[in-house]
Amino acid sequence: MDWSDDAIILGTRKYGEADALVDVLAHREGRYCGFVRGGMGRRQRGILQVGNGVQASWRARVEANLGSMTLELKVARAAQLFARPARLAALSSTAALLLAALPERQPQAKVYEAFVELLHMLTDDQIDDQEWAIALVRFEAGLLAELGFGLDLSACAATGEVANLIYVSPRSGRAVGAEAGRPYKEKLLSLPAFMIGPAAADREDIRAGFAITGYFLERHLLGPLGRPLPDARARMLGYLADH
Amino acid sequence: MASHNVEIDRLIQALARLPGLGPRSARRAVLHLIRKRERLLKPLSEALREVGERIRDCEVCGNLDTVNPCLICSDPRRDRSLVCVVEQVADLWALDRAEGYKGLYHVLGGTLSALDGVMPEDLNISALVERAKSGEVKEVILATNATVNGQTTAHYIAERLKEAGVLVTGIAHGVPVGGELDYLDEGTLRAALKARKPV
Repeated sequence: MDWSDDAIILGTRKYGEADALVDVLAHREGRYCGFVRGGMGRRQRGILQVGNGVQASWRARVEANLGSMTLELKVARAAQLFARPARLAALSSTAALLLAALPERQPQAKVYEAFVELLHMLTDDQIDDQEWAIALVRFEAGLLAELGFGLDLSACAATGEVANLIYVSPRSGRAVGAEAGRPYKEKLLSLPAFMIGPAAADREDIRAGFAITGYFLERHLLGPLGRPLPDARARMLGYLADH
Repeated sequence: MASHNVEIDRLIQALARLPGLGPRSARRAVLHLIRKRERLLKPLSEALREVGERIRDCEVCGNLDTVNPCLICSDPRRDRSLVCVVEQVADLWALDRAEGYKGLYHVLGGTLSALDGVMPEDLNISALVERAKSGEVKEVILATNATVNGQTTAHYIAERLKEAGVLVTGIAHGVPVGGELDYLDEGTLRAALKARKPV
């Protein structure tokens, strides 16, 4: 068994003294873990940073084996974010989320492509915090959809109306209109317009967007695994609120 | 093991658990120690016993020493207005070997890690904030590793230290001494270019 594919580093764990177990999200192959000989050594440690784009070659005698991996650096993204705390926290949070939520060895080409696009925004100095934060909310909503827990924001769950959708039901993940939601507004989540379609968003809208995706990520993807949302996500929200 | 002696096998097994040694090299080391027992084995066992009995975590900085506070923290020649924050004791020793720094240290005991679930309360951060607030400290140098986790931790500490009102700086990242540009990864080169300075 072997494959070679473009991949992004999601996490690295030390194995023995100088070796590493590395998790990657590969374009065609999905999330894979592999043994990297010398991964903790001076030569490779810089390559094995979360978010870096690599050419990964995985090989195992039989499919069930852990497999060994060789990695060649293609895009050094991590170092570009070292001086940007909010973006660095966004990278850590997203990688931890993918690591926890994605099933192993199942193709996730759409998730990979969306992740590459998000990383591109995070490393682009021309893109401001608001733009990538909106992209991250959309990425998290897309991840929920890819894994079978998509939000239905097309029409009001109660009346079917398609205009004036300003809430999301925490129970069904469906949009709720202003009129129908008014009696229950304390229990509903605020739905920012940018989650439905192209629209401007302010800091409060972005916070509301993250509140929605955070709620459903925890409920559908992380909760069943007994895991909370990544700590880095809360730090990222703190940075976004401060700056 | 191959010695057919319980005590020797136990020694081989203990040594084999050390970094850099496996069962084979541990066996060689034990044989060497036994052959030179007067010159090596006895001083080694004495040194191990002494360290085992006397080693302490410094309650000020987290360094390892046989006295508490450690010799660095209690050295009156050190600049007490400077505190350098490192991830591990090994980093402290590495920086102190370089002899370019004469301030004090603070050992975090690791880094924040989304993957391993290491949270701020798992690290020696609150004690650092208290030290910074004491009034004696004027500058905190963040010398965490140039990794995602190391830099994430540095930013977190910088945020926490805002309330202490001290100057917070970070060590430079870039081309190592003896490094050739052609052999450096793009991330290092990018960091080096960003941190360029007038010559």
